[in-house]
Amino acid sequence: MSALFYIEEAEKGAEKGESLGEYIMHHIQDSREWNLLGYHLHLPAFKPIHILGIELDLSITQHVLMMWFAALFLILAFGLAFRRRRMIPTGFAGVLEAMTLFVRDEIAIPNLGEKYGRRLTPFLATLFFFILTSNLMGMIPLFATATGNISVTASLAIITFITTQLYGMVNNGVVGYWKNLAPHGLPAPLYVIIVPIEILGLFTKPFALAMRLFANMMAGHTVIYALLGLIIALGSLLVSPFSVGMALFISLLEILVAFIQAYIFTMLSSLFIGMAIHQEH
Amino acid sequence: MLKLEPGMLIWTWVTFLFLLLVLRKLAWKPLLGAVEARERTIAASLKRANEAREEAERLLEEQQKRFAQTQEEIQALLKENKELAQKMRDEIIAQARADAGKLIERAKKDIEKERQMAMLALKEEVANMVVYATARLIQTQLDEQKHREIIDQYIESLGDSSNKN
Repeated sequence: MSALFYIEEAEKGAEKGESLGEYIMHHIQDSREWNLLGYHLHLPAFKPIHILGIELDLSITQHVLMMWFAALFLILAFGLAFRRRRMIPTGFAGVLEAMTLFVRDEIAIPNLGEKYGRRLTPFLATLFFFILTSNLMGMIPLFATATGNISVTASLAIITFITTQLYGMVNNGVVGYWKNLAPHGLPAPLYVIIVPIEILGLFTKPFALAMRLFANMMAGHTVIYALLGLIIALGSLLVSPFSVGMALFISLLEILVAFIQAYIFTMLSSLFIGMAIHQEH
Repeated sequence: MLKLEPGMLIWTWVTFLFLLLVLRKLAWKPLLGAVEARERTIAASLKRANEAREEAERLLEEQQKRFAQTQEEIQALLKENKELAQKMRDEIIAQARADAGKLIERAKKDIEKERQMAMLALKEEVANMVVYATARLIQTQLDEQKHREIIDQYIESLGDSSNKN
């Protein structure tokens, strides 16, 4: 349904002189409106505020709306599933519990140890479910993928970065943490190289985290759009079985990727936090 | 496309922190609390089961030991009884043998006495008969007293010679 609608829209764009590439980019990027099957719902826009030389535009964009939907969905899902406290959960609550316990037992505790693993499970589980829901929302017609936006993934990576530094300093002491960043017992000249590398490493970790999630989420959608775009680009309906078939295959792959990327982001976050807590080089 | 938008960053932080706080109260506390309670219950049940099993094993071992001990005691008792019975039997048999021996001895003595008495009676009878016969033979009535002495002497010598045989 959304594919047909997409082709229709793309044809309209082509009439307006918009190239296919531009059209695809336009649809993947954030926008100030929510496209509801041709009806463009305009979202509230605010005038940019200037603080400390930064232009802060707090307008509600499509991706902000998508994040809110994801948050709302999670709150409703967990709220309904756990509105009654039970010793053994049934049905949907059991699924949510199994996933949460996966985060606790396979991600948090192995990387962070028993004490910090249990303490950080709520944070890591929230991260996991939020990313997973945002990823999967891209697969639903009319919804978009907020995690396909570099600002969103960077923001999540910055949260991981701050948590990492905070827990590193809480566990090892402020001075101890920074002192232990570089390994001990090396010849003095090496520190000239090692120290900048370690400091750079602090920032490359969250950078890689942000880029990986963003690129994975954006790439899948780009490929689907490009495959469907072939129908318009070649101007023949004969390519449509191939295009739709391939797009379906990529869509299924996208579901897998949505889970994998949510897992990887959470896994690496807990790994980085764990490395900051247990600084044995 | 790769430009970071500060507004978006802030909205993400706000959304994420809000979600974290709400889910912490709504989901993680009940969920993880229930799971931890369950894990504790399971651990406690396992511990109890283990303890019960150990107790049962201990009791079984004790019972077996006691049984073996009883068995041993029974064996010892049986053996002792057997020995006692054997001893008693032996004693009874020995006693019986001794009694029988004594009885035979006494019987022999009695027989000997009877024989001697019979002998004496026989001697007297023979003497009387001889006296009578002699008197009848010789037709003379001597002084009986004197007569008797002679015969007695004779019989005595006869008896001696018969005894010697």
